[in-house]
Amino acid sequence: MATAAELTVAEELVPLREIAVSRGWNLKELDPLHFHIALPAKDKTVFYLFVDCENYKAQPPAWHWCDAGGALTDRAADRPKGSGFLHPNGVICAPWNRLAYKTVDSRGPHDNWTIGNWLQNSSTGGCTTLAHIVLRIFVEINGPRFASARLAA
Amino acid sequence: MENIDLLQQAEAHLQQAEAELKSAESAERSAEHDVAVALEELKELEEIKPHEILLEIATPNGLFKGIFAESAKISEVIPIVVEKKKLNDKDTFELFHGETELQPTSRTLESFGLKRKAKLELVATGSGV
Repeated sequence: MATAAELTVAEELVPLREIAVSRGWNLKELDPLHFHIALPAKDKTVFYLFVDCENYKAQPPAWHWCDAGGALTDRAADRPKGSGFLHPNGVICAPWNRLAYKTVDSRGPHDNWTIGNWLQNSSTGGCTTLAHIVLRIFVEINGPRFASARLAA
Repeated sequence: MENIDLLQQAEAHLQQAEAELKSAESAERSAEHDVAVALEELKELEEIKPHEILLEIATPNGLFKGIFAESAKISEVIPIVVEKKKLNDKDTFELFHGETELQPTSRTLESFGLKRKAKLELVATGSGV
């Protein structure tokens, strides 16, 4: 029987799949709780995310920068840079990223956020679904704050 | 011994040929997809009258496609998309075109240089740090 997290992810992947097909973003659904997505940045560099939706939505997904194959995660060579959002610690700094919480990941910039309250966190804004979060990341790596390609390895 | 070498060479050639065939098939499928997309875009553009723009907007609830007057203001476009895609109208949304945020929303589509067809993104304000 599918878990609540699996059912929610399945539902939220529908609009994301539609957008990915339209934009030519490569979306690989690895299992009911994990997917891999490729997003182009404004300098034509392609960045890849491995997304772990365990315990979604009690907790936010973990958005790992990764290599094209998805096997290697959280390497400096695979991360974009350019703002506090694309944090120098190597994680996306937003309440909808599990890795932004210091209680979860030592690189997490925030020890003042409560992970169980991520949907109510004012910095989450309307960014409460998988498609919305992906669009938010896409806009950031195509926006004026995106400085350049990857951090030095 | 010589026959074995020849056999191994032939197998290697066969494997290479199979790999090349797969690659060619993949390229063919990709080309077919590109042609289909281009034909669809041509058909869409034929339906657009002068001074109209076809907007394809990626929203949190999936894709929105609609034809607007070039003179439509961003502040007129956003509520239509929010309503049609059943987004939360209590959120404030921003439209983006590539690296351009379509602000201020009192400006028109054409004032941002948008013509005929454009791909945009709709994202809620303040969603991130």
